[in-house]
Amino acid sequence: MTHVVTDACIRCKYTDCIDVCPVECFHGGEVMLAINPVTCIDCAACVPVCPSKAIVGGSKPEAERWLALNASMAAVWPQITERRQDFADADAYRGLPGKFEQLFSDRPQAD
Amino acid sequence: MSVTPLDGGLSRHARKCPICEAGCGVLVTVDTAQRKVIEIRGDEADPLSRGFVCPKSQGMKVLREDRDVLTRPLRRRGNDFEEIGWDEAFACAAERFKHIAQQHGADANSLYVGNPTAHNPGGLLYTLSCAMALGTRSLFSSTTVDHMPKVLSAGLMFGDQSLIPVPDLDRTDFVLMLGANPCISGGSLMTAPGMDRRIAEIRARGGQVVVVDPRRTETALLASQHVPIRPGADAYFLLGLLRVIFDEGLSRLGRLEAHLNGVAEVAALARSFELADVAEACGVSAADITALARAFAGAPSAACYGRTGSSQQLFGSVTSWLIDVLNAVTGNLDRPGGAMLPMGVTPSIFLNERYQQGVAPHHRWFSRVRGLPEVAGQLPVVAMAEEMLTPGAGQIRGLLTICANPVLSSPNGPRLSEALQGLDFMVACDIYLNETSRHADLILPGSGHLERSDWPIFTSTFQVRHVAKWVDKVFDPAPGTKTDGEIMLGLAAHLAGTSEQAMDDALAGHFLQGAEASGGLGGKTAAEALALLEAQKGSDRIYEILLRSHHFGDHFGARPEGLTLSKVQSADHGVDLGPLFERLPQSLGTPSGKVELAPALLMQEVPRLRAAIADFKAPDRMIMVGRRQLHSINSWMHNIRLLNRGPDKCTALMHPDDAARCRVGTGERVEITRGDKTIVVPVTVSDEIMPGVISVPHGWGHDAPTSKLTYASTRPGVNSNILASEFDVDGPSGNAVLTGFPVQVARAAEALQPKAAA
Repeated sequence: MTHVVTDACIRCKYTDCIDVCPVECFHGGEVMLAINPVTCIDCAACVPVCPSKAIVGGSKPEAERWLALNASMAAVWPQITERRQDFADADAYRGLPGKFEQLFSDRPQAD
Repeated sequence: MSVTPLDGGLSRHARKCPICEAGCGVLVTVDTAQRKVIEIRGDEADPLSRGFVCPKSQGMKVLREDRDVLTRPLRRRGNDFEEIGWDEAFACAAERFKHIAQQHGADANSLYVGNPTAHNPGGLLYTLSCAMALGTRSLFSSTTVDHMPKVLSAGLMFGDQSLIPVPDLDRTDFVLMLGANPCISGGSLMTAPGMDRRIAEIRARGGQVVVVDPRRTETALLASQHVPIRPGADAYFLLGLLRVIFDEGLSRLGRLEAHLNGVAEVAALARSFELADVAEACGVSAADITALARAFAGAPSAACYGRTGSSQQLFGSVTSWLIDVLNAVTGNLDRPGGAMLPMGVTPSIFLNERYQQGVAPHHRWFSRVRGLPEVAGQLPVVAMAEEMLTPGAGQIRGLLTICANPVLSSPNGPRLSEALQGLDFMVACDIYLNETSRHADLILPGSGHLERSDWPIFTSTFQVRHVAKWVDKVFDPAPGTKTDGEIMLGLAAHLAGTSEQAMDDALAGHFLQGAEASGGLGGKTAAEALALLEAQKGSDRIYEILLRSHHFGDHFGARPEGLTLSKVQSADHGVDLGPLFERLPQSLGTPSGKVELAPALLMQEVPRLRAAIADFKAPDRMIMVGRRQLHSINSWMHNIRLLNRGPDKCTALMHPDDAARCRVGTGERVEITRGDKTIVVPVTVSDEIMPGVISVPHGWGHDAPTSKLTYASTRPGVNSNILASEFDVDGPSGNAVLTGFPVQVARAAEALQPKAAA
């Protein structure tokens, strides 16, 4: 199957997940990450390390609306293999509702 | 096994991961021509693992790219190593070991078998040939680091060291787990890949999963209940459960009633411990113990299971024993949903001795210096250093290690290093120049995981469901390399002064004889069976002998519907042979023919257990325990960046109360001291660990200057086993005590603290 990054990642983008992924399947957008469903091996190492609890297994009900987004964004965003801190105020966005409608961007992350 | 051709010259191979006991089915996509691994993922069609993999699986791919991984024999020249040829290496090893034996006796040569050998059929099998060729009693292995108490208790209770009960997870209504974290470890002495899912399935059908552990582990987070327990106090906890069960008449002996000896003795034993006393000792309230006892005994089926935490402690044998006493007296031994005994697709070939003419397969001889006991033909690893360092007849002067790093994995590594330095001759079969192998005169590296065939040689008798699986190598071995099996066979042949073919034939003959004696040749002679084998040589031939002569096999034609090598080979993802089934009383090997619930050797431990209660009640001790990590197994995966990056993984977990008392926060360092030994470790403050307990993961400490672990040495961590003492021993089994010992913890000196950000 695959795991998916949900809207909980948006505007936090902690990237703790990058350090534990053994297959480097993450791709970086401007405000969130996406998991490449082709390369993800469902080892679930990323799930417990995300401070926003933004990653879920693809077969869970709450994953359904994010499957297509992760697949399409992973195809256009660059692979991200190193942790980074894009947002110093990430903590302020943790757990906020409505982040997708208000804050989503399909732009790839800057270099 | 299946091989699927893909576009672009790629192919996908159904394999089994050999890195830990779970043995997950994996799909490995490769470019054979380029000798490149494209990806490794779980195989959903594997009947046991059903698609599960963990990050360690990628080790099969990434190790191939590690420039520190050795590929050719190395011989020491002063402080350096030079590459030599294989024949020269074998000849050198044989000559030096023989010289030692001639001068000082066979026992002056020793063997230490490390954990990865258990997952390497050729490696393990021809290690047996080497041991026989050396003719030494100085045999050691990581078994006496992590599970000899269970081997001993199985031998005592069931008369067969390979009869270690496994929880029947697929059908149980209640699992009680002590000192185990299978959601991270993959499961040990319990081949059950994908524990997250299995726990969810148990709970979905209304079952209970209770995790008893000083830490709220990853497994505890998924369980129905977490019971924090004082480290090392599991025996008291089990006695508390038994006390309640006998007091309240909750014992049901079930089908095996007529085959159990010692019920009255264990009942009397349990009644001799006061519930209030054991509760205080283990830190679990009498009310909680009572509720758990009632729930366990009252469940339609239940299984108690313990692993490293219950083995690597001062009372490892007593704890391992009482776990199965609890199973037996609640009628859960050898019944569906309870603690069952996997028949195995192949029988156990290691740690599998039975009584012979009334003589137990343990305590037949004792170590020279300290009189520590032999179990299953091995002496305890805690004796190794002193046997090497103490002069006198029988002093060990030669050592052969196989896929092992006891300098990190066993107590007091620095003293063992000193002992290894002083040996006359040492050979290390290892892919790394590491903390142990750097002392060797010869290093013989085995080729990679994907360059050999594979089958579950060690884990067959621990599977929670019987699945036959044999997989072929993916790549031909690179020229000039040898598999661990080929290395051990080469060494054995040179030691015995015969050809590799003769050694291999001798091993095959040994297993054929065993099969004949157990009735597995279907009336044929060994010679007739030999002629029928499809595999002509090597570890695959041994597999075929074991497979065909065991329970599910074709018995060389006598059972045409049974398994043959080609049947297993042609099964794309393994052959599902179904759930576990009853095996007692017929499989028992005790002299009485019954299950011995109160073996004298373990009952003799009771006074020591009773006397130690006072220690456990002492309020002001900090106790150190270990911790298993997802991306790591023992000491050898830390040189792989993909499995070892981000925040430091070698940290000490401390409860907020203890951290506050020591005036440390996350990221700051503590000194952990025991006697004259100290380690300095960064702290992670978390309430997942109980107050009074500090948890440090094992397998770290990659700062030896003469190792070649380029990446690991940049994030070396600390060797927690420096604080483990070789003088702490579980008496009956000789097992090391790596967990549950008292330490002092203090904030490290300011000079050792991380600098505050400017």
